[in-house]
Amino acid sequence: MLSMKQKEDTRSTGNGTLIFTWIALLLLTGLTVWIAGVNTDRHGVAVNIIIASVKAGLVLFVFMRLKYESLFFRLILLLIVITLTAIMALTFLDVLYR
Amino acid sequence: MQALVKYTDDVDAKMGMWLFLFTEMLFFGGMFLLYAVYSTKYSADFSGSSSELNRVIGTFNTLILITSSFTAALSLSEIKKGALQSASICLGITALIGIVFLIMKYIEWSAKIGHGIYPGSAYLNEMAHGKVLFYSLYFVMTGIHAFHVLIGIAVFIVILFMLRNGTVRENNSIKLENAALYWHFVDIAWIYLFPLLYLLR
Amino acid sequence: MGTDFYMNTEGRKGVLSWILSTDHKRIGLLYLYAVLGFFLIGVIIGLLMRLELMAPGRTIVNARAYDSLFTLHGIIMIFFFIIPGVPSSLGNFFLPLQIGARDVAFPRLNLLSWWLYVIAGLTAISTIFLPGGPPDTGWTLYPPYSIKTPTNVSGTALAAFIVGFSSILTGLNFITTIHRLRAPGMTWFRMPLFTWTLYSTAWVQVLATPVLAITLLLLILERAFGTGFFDPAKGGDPLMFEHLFWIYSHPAVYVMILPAMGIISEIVPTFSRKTVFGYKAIVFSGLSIATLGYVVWGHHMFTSGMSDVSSMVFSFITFAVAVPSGIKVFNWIATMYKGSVEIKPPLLYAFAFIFLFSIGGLTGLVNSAVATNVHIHGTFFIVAHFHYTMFGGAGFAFFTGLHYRLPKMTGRMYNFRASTVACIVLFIGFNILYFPMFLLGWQGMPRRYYDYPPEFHGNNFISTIGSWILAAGLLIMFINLARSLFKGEKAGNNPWDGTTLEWQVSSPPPQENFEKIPHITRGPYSREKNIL
Repeated sequence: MLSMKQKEDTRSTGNGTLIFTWIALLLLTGLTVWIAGVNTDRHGVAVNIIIASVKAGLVLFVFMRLKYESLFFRLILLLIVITLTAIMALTFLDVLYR
Repeated sequence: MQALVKYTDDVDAKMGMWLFLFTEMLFFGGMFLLYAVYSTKYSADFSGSSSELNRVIGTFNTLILITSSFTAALSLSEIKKGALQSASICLGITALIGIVFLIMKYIEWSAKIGHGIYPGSAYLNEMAHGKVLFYSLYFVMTGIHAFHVLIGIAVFIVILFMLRNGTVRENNSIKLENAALYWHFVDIAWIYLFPLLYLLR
Repeated sequence: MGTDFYMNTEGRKGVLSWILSTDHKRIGLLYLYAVLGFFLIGVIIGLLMRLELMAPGRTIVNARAYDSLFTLHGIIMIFFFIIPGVPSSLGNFFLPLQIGARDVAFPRLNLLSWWLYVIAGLTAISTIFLPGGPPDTGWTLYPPYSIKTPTNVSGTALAAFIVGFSSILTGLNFITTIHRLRAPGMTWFRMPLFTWTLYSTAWVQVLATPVLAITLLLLILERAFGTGFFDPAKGGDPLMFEHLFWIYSHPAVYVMILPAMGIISEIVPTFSRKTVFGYKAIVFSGLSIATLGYVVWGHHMFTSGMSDVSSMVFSFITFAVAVPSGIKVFNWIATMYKGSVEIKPPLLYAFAFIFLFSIGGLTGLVNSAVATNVHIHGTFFIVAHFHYTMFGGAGFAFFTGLHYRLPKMTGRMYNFRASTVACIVLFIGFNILYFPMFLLGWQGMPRRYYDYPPEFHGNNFISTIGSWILAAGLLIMFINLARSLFKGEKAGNNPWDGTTLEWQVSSPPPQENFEKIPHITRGPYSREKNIL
């Protein structure tokens, strides 16, 4: 394994991609504020959570370079998402049916 | 006393950082769980209180924090190309935006505290239960987030010095990379906090 | 080469060469001493509690002091002895040796985690002397009482918060080490089982501890500012604290027991002169214990007023987690079958572990059925159950590990006869101490009370006698082990004919562990030699 180690990671994301992602994030923020303004019921919140997840995904994969990382990192991210979902679901089994 | 052979590399350090960030996600996850339960139980109070928050400052802070995340990513991309000068500038901008974020947070908090709204205040305790919990969650969640921002700024200032004295350079950028990873996580936490706290109505 | 790690002080003098060292072997020993120190404090508090319960009415302390005693006993034993016990001491020392690495991935972080542990320990102890006095809530710190009590709950919560941070750092260090620093040829399924269980444990530490951290922080804020999250008077839900608390604290019992199982899984094949039966079954049962153990926390809350739907779901998953634990016991027994079993002290302690842990595990099934749980919840039955699993299980496995590995750590061998006597005394004392508690609990004696009606006197009296026998056993064992440091014979590099990598280096191990990184060509329990 030692021989397989690379000293450092020289792959760099192009500045164009970074700028594009940045603008997309700003636009999504605008969208989410707009939705909250026009949509006053609970659906608006759900849509905004989904938009937030898209934004988080952009940050993770582009800014945090997850697209370059090994499969392991993505699997762990999945593990965390599953863990949080499981905690939420099991707690709501109590809260909703109490 | 011989110096130990270097047996670890940047990928190890990055894996450690990611694992740490995953623990941070679960740390915030505990608060989101509380939020989920109480917002289900007191949905009307939560919407009502949410509309009392300053949405302009909230949106502004979201936009600048995203921008700071962008400049942090840019800084890393520049240093990998060997452009140390522009990497330093990007990093400096990131830290500055962090400070602006905290100043806005301070203004926002002082306004609320000025109205007598803070956890444990007599004024707040007389309000509906859902409002008490919403404002407590608001102060605790944004407070813990702001603490993370503060740590991030301190780390960036240290890294700026390291860039200057050559500890961090194009072929040894892991410290900058890990600091940026941490900053992006702080950004992601805010990306979720923003709609949950400010945009509920 | 040739200088063992005791000789290499990195230019520092005396105690500084220890508390500033980033060598995983020195940090492992630092942890060992610190952990044993806290164990001693916990034992003394436990003995005092038993003394109080020896007779009805006030015996040595009043009700208020008794509340603090059981709280401190729980906090110290759980957060400062069992959770860090095996992974941080034996794990730190042997993980890099077992996978053929020079050190852990982040040596400085490793040292930091020891410092945090010590600071947390001092914080916890300091609550006794600070105004307000030691906490009286029980180690679970349940609100609303923990919000109202004037005692030092916040200090205790802060201590547990800091030690949790130390635990997270150890966990992420171990995961990275195992992923990145294995020697060439050390594939995942050539890793020793102790390392495998440390790996599962590390994941639980990383995934569960942050939830405890935020819970304790929220409790501190609740006490300081009155945030109201867990205060029913302000609309908060105390059950949410219980949920969050057990989301950590149930997986934490697997942090305690998994490395214990790892120790036993290595010792049984070594002393049976056989390869382990069902290596992969042990690996995967360890991983599934870690996974299932994460989603059973609700079984601590059956009588709390939680919904019936969730009680049923949690009860079912709890039954499921017994399956992989059972698999491990069968694997150990099957490993010994037709082996040339050689009963030396480590194996003797392992036998005690298997017996006591089985009783603990089986009574766990009694607890996990909702209907019986309602009857025995909050009684001495629970106290007996978790002492059988945590002390009879994790604690005895820690003693097993010490007897197996101390000769490697110090290079010196202890007296076999004394350790055999100690083991027998411990085993007898343990059962006299804790078995009557099953009976008491079944009769309905609640836990955490300093007084009881006269009909419970007999069993309580027997139990207190048992606590003295157990203490005598501990005394014999530790004196014998400590004596070996100074007067023990040279142990040699491989006193037990072990097959994993650490037995192929000298005792005590050299500074850099391996002269050159070994190349692994075989499984961990195969009896051919690796090329060093």
